Amino acid sequence: MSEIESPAYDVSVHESPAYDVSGPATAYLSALQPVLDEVIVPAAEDVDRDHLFPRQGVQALVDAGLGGLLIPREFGGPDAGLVVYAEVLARIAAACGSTSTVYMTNLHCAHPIVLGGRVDQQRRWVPALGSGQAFGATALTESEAGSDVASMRTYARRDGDSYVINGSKMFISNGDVADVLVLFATVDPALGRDGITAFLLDTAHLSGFGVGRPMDKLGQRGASTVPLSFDHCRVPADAVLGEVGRGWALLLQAVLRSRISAAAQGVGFATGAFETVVAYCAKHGLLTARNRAAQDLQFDLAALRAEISAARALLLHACAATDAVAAAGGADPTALLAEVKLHCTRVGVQVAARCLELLGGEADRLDVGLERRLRDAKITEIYDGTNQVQSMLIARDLRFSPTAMSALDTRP
Amino acid sequence: MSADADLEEYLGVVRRLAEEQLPVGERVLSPDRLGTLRRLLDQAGVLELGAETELDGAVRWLSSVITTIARRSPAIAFALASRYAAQRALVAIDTDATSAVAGRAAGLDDAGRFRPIEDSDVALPVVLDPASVVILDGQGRSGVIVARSFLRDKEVARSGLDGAHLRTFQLSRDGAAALPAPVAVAASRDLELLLTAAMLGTAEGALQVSEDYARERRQFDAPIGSFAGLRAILAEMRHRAGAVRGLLESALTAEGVQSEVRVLEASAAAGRAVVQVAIDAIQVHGGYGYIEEYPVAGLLRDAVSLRAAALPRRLVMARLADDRLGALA
Repeated sequence: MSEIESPAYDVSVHESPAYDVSGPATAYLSALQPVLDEVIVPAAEDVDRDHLFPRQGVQALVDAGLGGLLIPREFGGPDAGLVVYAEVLARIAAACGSTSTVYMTNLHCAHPIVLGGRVDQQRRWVPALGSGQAFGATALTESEAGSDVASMRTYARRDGDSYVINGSKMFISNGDVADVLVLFATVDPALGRDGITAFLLDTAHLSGFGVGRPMDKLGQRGASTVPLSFDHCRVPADAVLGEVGRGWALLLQAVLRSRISAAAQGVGFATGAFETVVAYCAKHGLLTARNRAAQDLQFDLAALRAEISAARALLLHACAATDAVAAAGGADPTALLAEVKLHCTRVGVQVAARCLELLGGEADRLDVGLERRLRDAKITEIYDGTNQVQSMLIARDLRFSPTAMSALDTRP
Repeated sequence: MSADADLEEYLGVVRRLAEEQLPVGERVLSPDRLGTLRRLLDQAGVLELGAETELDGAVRWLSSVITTIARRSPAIAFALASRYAAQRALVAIDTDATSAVAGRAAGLDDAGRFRPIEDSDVALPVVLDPASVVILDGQGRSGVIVARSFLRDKEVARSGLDGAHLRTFQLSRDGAAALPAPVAVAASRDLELLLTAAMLGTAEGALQVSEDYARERRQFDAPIGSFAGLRAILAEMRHRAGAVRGLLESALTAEGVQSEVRVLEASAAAGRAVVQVAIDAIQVHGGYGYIEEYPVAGLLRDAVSLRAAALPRRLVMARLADDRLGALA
C-alpha cells in the first residue's frame, strides 16, 4: 500500500461499542409505532398550525410505556439506555417536532435531579416526570446570556433559611406548563461560574414567579416556549439542587445528554422530510427503474439517504459510547457529543432544505408537511448549545489531542 | 442624463419609499398601510412599470425595483414580480388590462409529468387585487390568460409571503384564452428572472439585518460580529448573495437563446442561496432568530415560498444540461 493510500487512521484499532436496535429496542419501537400512527402523526399539522400543546401525544407515549426511557429503575423507569432513547426520539421527531421537544424536555429536567438531587428530591420528582404525572422545565438561558451562559444575572441571595431570587429567563421550553423547574442562578455574580447554583422549584408553591406570553416561533410551534421572571421569589434553602456553587458542573453534565436529544431530533427531522419526499416520488412514478428521466432525482434521494444513515450511525455510536463510558464510571465524552450534535442537527436542516427543492411548486404547502420539518429542524442548531459552541468544544479537543478522531475513538 | 443615471435616480425614489412604508419584519400590512403603499407605488409609477413600452432596458428596471423592495418586503416584491411578468405578456398580445398577475401551475400526474394547467393548482399574490391572471404551465412552455373570476379559490395554506396575500387557485370552468407560445415562453423567462431578483433582494435583506445584529449583540463581553467564526458565516452569506447578483447581471445582459440559459443559471443559484442565507441569518441571531418578532424567522418562510414559485430545480438543471448536451436520449 502506498503512502497516499495508507489510511491515517485505522478504525479497527479502537474499541467500538456495539449498538443494537434489536432485542429490547424492538419492543420499544413496536410500542411506539401505533402511537405515532394513531395519535401523533394525525395531529402533527394541527399542533403546528394552531400552536396546540401536544399533551395527548405525550400522554399516549407515557401510556405506551415510553415516558421515561432514561429514568433509572430505582425511580420506576426502564433505564432503557441512550441508544433506545435516541431511536425513539428520532422517530417521534420525524412525526412531530413539537411532541418530541415536550417529551425530551421532561427527561432533560429529570436528568440533573438524578445526577445531583437529594433522595427526597429525586423521589418527589423523577418518577413523576417519567410517568407523565408532572411536566418539567430547565431554566438556563437569559436574554443577555445565550451562548455565554456563565454571564447569567439571575441572582439567588441567601436570606436566613431561604433564598430570594430575582431575574428572568428566556426561551424556556415547557416553562408555562412545568410543575417543576430546574433553575440555574448565581448566588454571587462576582464568583462567575463558581457562583452558579441549581435550584429545584415546585412551581405550585412559588410567589414572585411569573410566566410570560408563549413565544410565536418559526417551528416546533406546539411546544410552548416562554420567558420566566423571578421577582423577590423566596424559596427554602433546601431547594438547592446539588451543592451551592456547583451548578456549573451539574449544568455541563446535564447539557451533554440534551445534545443527544437535539442530535436525535436532527436525524428525525431529516428522516421525516425524506420519507415525505419518497412517498411523493413513489406516488408520481418517479422511483421506477424505467423512468430514466428521473435518474437525477433518484440519485439525489440516494445521496440524502446515505447522509441520514451516516448521521444515524454516528448518533447511535455516540449513544452507545456514552452509555459504555457511564457504566465504567467515566465522564460523558464531551467532544464526541459535540460532534454528534453538530453533525446530526446540520443534517436535519440540510436534508430538509434539499427535500424542499425536490418538491418544486408544492414544497411550501403546509399540508404537505415538508417545510414544517425545516422550520422544526432549524432550532436544533441553536438550542442545547449553538453549533458554534459545539465547534468551540471540538476545536478545544483538537488542541489537547490533535491526532484523535473522537467520533470513532471511544476510549475514555 | 444616461439610462443608468435615470435608473439610479428612480431606484433612489423606490428605496426611500420602501424604507418609509415597508418596515422590515412587518409581514402583513394593515388595510390602511396597504392603501397608502398602493397609492405611493402608483404615484411613483411602480405599479405600471411592467407595462412600459418605451423604457430603455425595461427588464433591468423591473429587476432592480424588485430587488430593492425585496430587501424590505419579499412579499411585496413577489407580488410585483408576478405583476410585471403578466403585464409584459399582456403588452405582447396587445391587451390593455394591466392589473394582472402571473404564476406557474404546480403538480405532477401519476407518471411524474407536469399536470396540464386546467388540472393544476396555481399560487398567486392577490395583494394588488389583480383583475386577470396569466397561468403558465409547469415547464413554462405554454400559458393561458383568464379573468380572476374564472378561478376557484382553494384552501391551501403556504409557508411564507403572507403579505402578498398568497392564494391558491384552480381554473373553475372554460374561459381561459391560450397565450401564443412565444409569449408564454417569454413570460416564463421574465417571471423566472424577476423571481430571481426577488430572491436576491430577500437574501441581501437577510444579510443586512444579520450584519446589523452582529454589530449590536454582545456575548463574552464583545459584539458577536467580532468573533471569527460568526464573521465567516456572514461572509458566506455575502458571497452567496454576491454570486447570485453576478449571475443575475449576466442574465440581464445576455441576448437571444443565451438569455434563457443565463436566467436559469441565476435562478438555480438564487433558489439555493436564498434559503441557505435565511437559514444562516437565523443562526446569527441565535434563539431570537427563531421567534417571529424578529424579521429573520419570517424570511426563511418567505425564501421557501419564493423558491416554490420559481421553476423546479430539477427542471432548471435538466434545461442547463440540454443546452450543452442536447435533449435526453
